[in-house]
This record gives sequence, C-alpha cells and structure tokens, in this order.
Amino acid sequence: MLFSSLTFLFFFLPMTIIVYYTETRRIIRNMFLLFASVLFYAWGDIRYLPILFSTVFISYIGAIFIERSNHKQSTAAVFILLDLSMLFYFKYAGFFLENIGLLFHREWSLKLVLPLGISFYTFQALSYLIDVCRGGVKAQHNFFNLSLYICFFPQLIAGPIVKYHDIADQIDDRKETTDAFYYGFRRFIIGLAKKVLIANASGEIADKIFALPIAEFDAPIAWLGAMAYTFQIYYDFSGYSDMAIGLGALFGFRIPENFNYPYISKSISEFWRRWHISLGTWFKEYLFYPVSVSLMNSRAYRLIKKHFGKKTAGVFLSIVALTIVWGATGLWHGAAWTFIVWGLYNGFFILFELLTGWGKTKKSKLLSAIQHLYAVFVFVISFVIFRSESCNHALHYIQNMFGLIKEHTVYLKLPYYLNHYNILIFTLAFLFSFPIFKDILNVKNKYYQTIINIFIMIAFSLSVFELTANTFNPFIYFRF
Amino acid sequence: MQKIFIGLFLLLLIFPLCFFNKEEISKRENRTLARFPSLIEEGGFNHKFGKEFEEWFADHFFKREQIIALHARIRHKINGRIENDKAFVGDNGWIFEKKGIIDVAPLSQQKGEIEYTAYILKRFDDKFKDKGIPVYLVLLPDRNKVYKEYWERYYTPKPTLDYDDEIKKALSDHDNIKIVSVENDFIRSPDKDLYFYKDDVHMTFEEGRFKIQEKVYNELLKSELKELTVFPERKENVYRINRSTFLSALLGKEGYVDKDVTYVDYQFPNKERYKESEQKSFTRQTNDEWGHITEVVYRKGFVTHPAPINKSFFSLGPCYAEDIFNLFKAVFKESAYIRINLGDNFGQDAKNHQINEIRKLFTLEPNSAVIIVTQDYFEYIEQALEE
Repeated sequence: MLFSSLTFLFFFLPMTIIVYYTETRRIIRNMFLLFASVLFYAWGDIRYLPILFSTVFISYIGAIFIERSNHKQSTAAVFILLDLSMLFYFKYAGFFLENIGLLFHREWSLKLVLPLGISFYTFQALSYLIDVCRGGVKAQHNFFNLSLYICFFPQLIAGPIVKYHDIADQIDDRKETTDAFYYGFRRFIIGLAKKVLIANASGEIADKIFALPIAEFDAPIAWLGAMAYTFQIYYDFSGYSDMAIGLGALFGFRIPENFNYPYISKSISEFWRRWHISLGTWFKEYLFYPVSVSLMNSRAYRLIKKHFGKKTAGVFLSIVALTIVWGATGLWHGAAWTFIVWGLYNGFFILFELLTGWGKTKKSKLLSAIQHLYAVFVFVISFVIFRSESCNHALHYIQNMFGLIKEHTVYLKLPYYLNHYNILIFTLAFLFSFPIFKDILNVKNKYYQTIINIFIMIAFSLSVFELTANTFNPFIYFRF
Repeated sequence: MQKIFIGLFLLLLIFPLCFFNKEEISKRENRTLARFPSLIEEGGFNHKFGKEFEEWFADHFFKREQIIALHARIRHKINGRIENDKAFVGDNGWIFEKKGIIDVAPLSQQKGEIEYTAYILKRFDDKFKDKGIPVYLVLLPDRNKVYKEYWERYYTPKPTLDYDDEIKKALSDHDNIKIVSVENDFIRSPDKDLYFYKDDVHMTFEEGRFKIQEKVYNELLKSELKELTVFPERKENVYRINRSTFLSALLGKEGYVDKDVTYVDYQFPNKERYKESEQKSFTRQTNDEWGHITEVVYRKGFVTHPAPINKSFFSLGPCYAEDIFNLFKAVFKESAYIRINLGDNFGQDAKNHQINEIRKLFTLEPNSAVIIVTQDYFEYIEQALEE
C-alpha cells in the first residue's frame, strides 16, 4: 500500500488512528501498531510476510544468542550472514547467476519477485544485531517489540532506515502529545504534496523522455529528462520520508530525518550528508568504519606506510574503503550494473574531493557558485545512470546530453514537454529545493500559523484531487 | 488552534467514507465500476485482494467522476489544447477526431441497400467459389446497439432493419460466404473486456481490441477452415504492416514521414504475447504541424476512428481493421483482404488503386481465403467486377 493512495489516506490511516487512540495501555497500542503494520505489509501480497518474519525471527534469536555468547563477533557474524543470505537470495542471486552464466557463455537466470522493502528491513535488522554485538544496546527479549521495530509501517517499506539504538527506548516509553500529533499531520501532508504534486508530475515527463529511443530526442530534451528525474527522485523519496516521519509522530515516534536539502550541496560528499541520510550513516557506522579499521590493521597498509609514507597509505586506505562502501551502496539500490556504476561514480567524486579538499573552501561567492554548479552537474549525471535501463543506455543518454549524437529525428520538440503546468511544477520544484521554507512548521506566531495551515489544507486538497483524477502514482524506492 | 486543525483534518479523512459512491456503473465513462473483491477465491486466498480493494475504493471514491472532469478542465485551462481543425490531443496523450460521435446521424439502412450489398457480394463470391476459396465477411458491431447498451445519450432509435439479420438472410443461399459476426460478443462480453466510449470517440486499447480479435479468431477456428494451413508460431515470422492510412486521412498527406511497422512474433490469442509484440512495434509518423501526434501513435500503437456518417455500420477504424487483417495473416498462410474505407479522403487515384487491389484478388490461388472487413463502399467491388 502506498501512503499516497486513496485507500491509505481515507481508510487505513483514519482507522489506525481511531483504534490506536481508543486504547490507552502501551502494550495494547504497540500490539495494535504491529497488527496494522502486518496488514499494511501483507496488503500488496501476503506471500511476502513469511520472509519479513523470518528476518525478524533470525534477528530476535540472534541477538539473544549474541548477548549470551562468549564469542559475540562470530555469533553475530552467523546471524548477520543469515539475514544477508535472504537479501542476497531474493535480490541478488538472479543477477549474479546471470553474470556468472555470461562468463561461461550460458544463459542462466533466476526470476524471483523482490519482497517489498527487503533492503530496508534487512538493514534495520542488521543494525539491531550489530548494536547488540557492540554492546550498545541490550537484546530485546520481547518478540513483539522487536517485530514492531522492524515492521513499523511508516518506515517498513522505504525507510528511513532507523537504527535500533535510535528508537529502542521509544518502543516502550514514548509520549503521544498533541504537539507531536499536530506536527505529524502537517509533516505528513507536506510529504504527500511533495510526492503527488511535484514528484508525480516530474515523473511523467522523465518517464516519457527516458522511454524514447536515443535517436528521437536531442540535447535540450535530454537535459529536461535528466532534470525532471532529478526532481522526481528527490520529491518522491523525500516526500515519502516526510510522510514516514509525520506518521511516526502521529503515534509518538521520533523517526530521524532522511533529507536536508541535498540540492544546495557544494560537493558530492556534502550531497551524501544531506541525501538519504539514514542509509549514509548506516554505511558509515556499520561498513566504512569497520572496513577502515581492519584496513589499517592490514599488512598491505603497513607495508605501504613503511615504503611510501603515511600519506600514500592513507590514500590507499581511502581508495579501498570508498570503493567497497560505494560499490555496496550502489548494489544496495538494485541488482544491476547501472546501480554499481552509479555507486562507484559517487565514490569516485567523493575520493576526488577528499584528496583535493574540493568543496570545503568558502572564500568567495564565485567559487561557492562554481562548487554548487559542479555538484549539481555531478549528481544530475549520476541520476541519469541511476534511471537508465542499462549502462549502454546511460552512456548514450549522456552522450546525447552533450550533443555527441548527431543523427536525430526529433518528433517531439521541447515545447511539447514543457506545457504551462509542467513549467509551474518545475518552478515549484526548483524553489522548494532551497531551504526558504525551512522550519516553517516551527514558526510560533499564530497569525502565520493560520496562514501556513490554510496552505497545508490546500496542498492536501490538491493532492487528493490529483490522486483521484490521475492514475500515475509510482514510487521509485519501493523497488529497493 | 492545534486541536482545530487536527479535528478538521480528521474530519476530512473520514468525510469521504460517509459519502461513498454506491453506483455500479459509471455512465460518464460507460463502464462497470470495480466490484468489491472476494477474500477467498476458488484456489484459496485471493492474493490480489489488496490491489482489487484499492481499485474498488478508487472507483467508488466520493465524487470521483466530477473530480476527474474538473481536473481535466483545469489542466486544459492551464495548458490549452493541442489541436487543429480536425483533431486534438487528449489529456491522456490520445488523439481524438473532433467531429466525433456528435455528428452521427440517425441510422437509415434501407432494404434496397442490403439487397444491393448482397448482390455485389454474391457476384464477388462467384469469382472464388469454383476455386474453393472461401470468402469471409466480418460484420463489425452496430454502433447504435453499443450505444443503447452503454451510452444511452447517444443512442438513436433503432432502424427498422437489423443489418446483421438481413445480410445473413440475403446471403443464405450463398454458402461459400462465411459470416463472422462479433456484435453479440461485443455487447455481451464481460465488463472488463468491453470497448467503452469516453466523451470522445475512444476505445480501450488493452482489452477491447484484443477481445474482438479473439472472437474473430475463435469464429474462424470454428468455421470450416481445414483446408487452410495454420501459420506456424515461430519467432522469425515477421509481418510488415503499413499503418499510415488513417493518420494520413486525418491529418493530410502532405509532409508525412511514414515508416512501416514491424510486428515480431504476432501470435493470437495469447494476450501476453500480444502485448509483447505491441511493445516491439514502431510507427513513426509526423509532419511539421502535427509532430506531437507521433508520440500518440508511437505509444498507443493505433488511433480510433468514428463511424462513417449516415451509415448504419461503422468501421472500427482502419487501424483496427488492420489488426483484424493481421490476425488473419498470423493464422493463415495465405489470405487476401479487402478493406475499403479510405473513402473520399484520397480522391480518384486512391479509389482506382483500391479497385485494382480488389481485382488482384481474382487471381488468388486455392488455399487462400478472402476476408472482407467493410460494410461500405461496395460500389468499389462492383466497379472491380465490371471488367
């Protein structure tokens, strides 16, 4: 079920709120939230449910074993591998099989339906196991509480990836206040409007252009398609995160932020501190640091340090660690070469910035503007790779953006895509990419609050209006 | 303030549920709305319950039809409409012919016309009978009957004669002519498979067309076609189709770039495969003024077409007729085909060309079939028979 579906808005959500608040006991409220989450997940296809609960069960048992074990790390490794094996089987086995087959000139394939949100909930489960292993938190002995942590419907299917130590206390001890409820509703509507009014409209243009054969569009249209997708993916995913955070607040949870105006970044490193923050911090905490530490203890590192100096060894460490982390980040998004290339592409620019110090200087406005343009350029191109059907398609699309494909038969000219409505949407998308309305929900003045609320209600009405009349309502991050 | 907002918002969430649309049919869209799904199916649990529930919920949502209409009006106000004097591009990217169904005149099929048609057909058939070549006459649905069933406001009183019955009667003594009628199937087919007509002349692409092709296919299989070889279902079978006619008729021939369409693996009535083949098809048509229409054709694969005015029967559209023909081509090794509905759009040269095409049929060898998908322009056949 999509948050931006009529069924969710006018059936699931009101029913869940009403039933939840008719009960006052925490345990019953949690049980009900778990029930609602299971219903939410099973709604799309009940057959995925056992896979979800296998992950929960493995994590539950695993954490208890880890806590009691004298060999915490090896015990944790076993259960982490078990969780990962399910993710690997459903998401990557087909991809690897196909590619191994190619090496032997064979056509091997394994077609499996990807369980909804498997990457997200597996990472939450892993976070829990690692936290317990590190001794940061205690194992959760209440199966239902752990289930609620992993299955909580606002963040179950598309994040934010909530780390266990961030939310463990809230499961048993949280306060549902009017303030939070009020904030939750408003945040939810803002997310809904971002998704429905901006992301969907941008997505329609992007889909049309990306579906065209390369020879049927020229550079301006290629740029328009890339920009449309850049807006779509941001408003789609950040809108969803806003909705998740808002929904969490309705039930007293504080779900961490996932986006912080990424399109104002002046470097790719900054971009990734502002984009999909929960995934970035997950990889930093659970992959980058451990990999860096183990590399520093490696023989290779010591040898390089001895023969070429500390600086060269540091470069070596950065290259290896970043390649691993960004390869994994790409792979996390999907089992396709485009995602791996996309991840490594990001890693390359982060390494470049790390080695050159790019993006850190704030001396002049001009340099700042150039840095911003650089970042926009790099991430727009990265989204073309992300969106393309194959690496070949991405390459041709990028060539087209720079006028490197000469023979065109353009049937549909730029004005066809840029009708008045789309121009309006692009303008809004551009404006809201900047933090001009940041903290708008926290303004204390009552007069302004009333105006803001009127705008929020209009945004809600327009979103419902659009949802009722328009069937185009995809969600990009569902497939991860 | 906070409580007012919360209360108002909760009210907004609950309000539509209290005024759920209980209608089963959408008259505006001429279709049956989704039914409440069953949780249990014959084979056990209905895995698609959630999806079907969402369809039902969306279909019955408070003031849905009005919202859709208002949405379209607002979009048109903002964007304007891409149009010329003959056609316009709809909000959904489809092209609609402007004169549309509003121009439909009351039906006036006369006994004399039917007799004339039957006479021509019999003479035509005489050219094939001796060679053992069957002639198939595909009777397309009477538009008026469809309107009566699904779109009452465009229904006009039934003509005195039922063309289906009358033509069958008139040809009853000529058993070489096989009649394939899809009208009843068309009208009675399950809701989801129906063609439906929106405010403009518009047929569903996915289900409706397939349904009628399937019917024709089944009718043909039921018929005595043992002498014809079924085309082997092989991927390398490639059928080349030229789909220029209707768009050219609609938009003018000048300035057109027109390429053939290649359908690969054209197999019916396997719906999934059909969709695949559709995805592989490419039609590229453009002119300077109407470049944007290309996209419609490219994406949707065909354009619909209204009935010829003042005729009791309507062609489902040249493109559609092409599909029927391709079905025949897909099924039978050799076939011939008459489609005469270019009419007045092309002038005398095109008419002469059409007549010559008909004459070529007279040289057909046994193990062929002749299929006629038209109820108009029998005078062309007559002229072809004259020499």
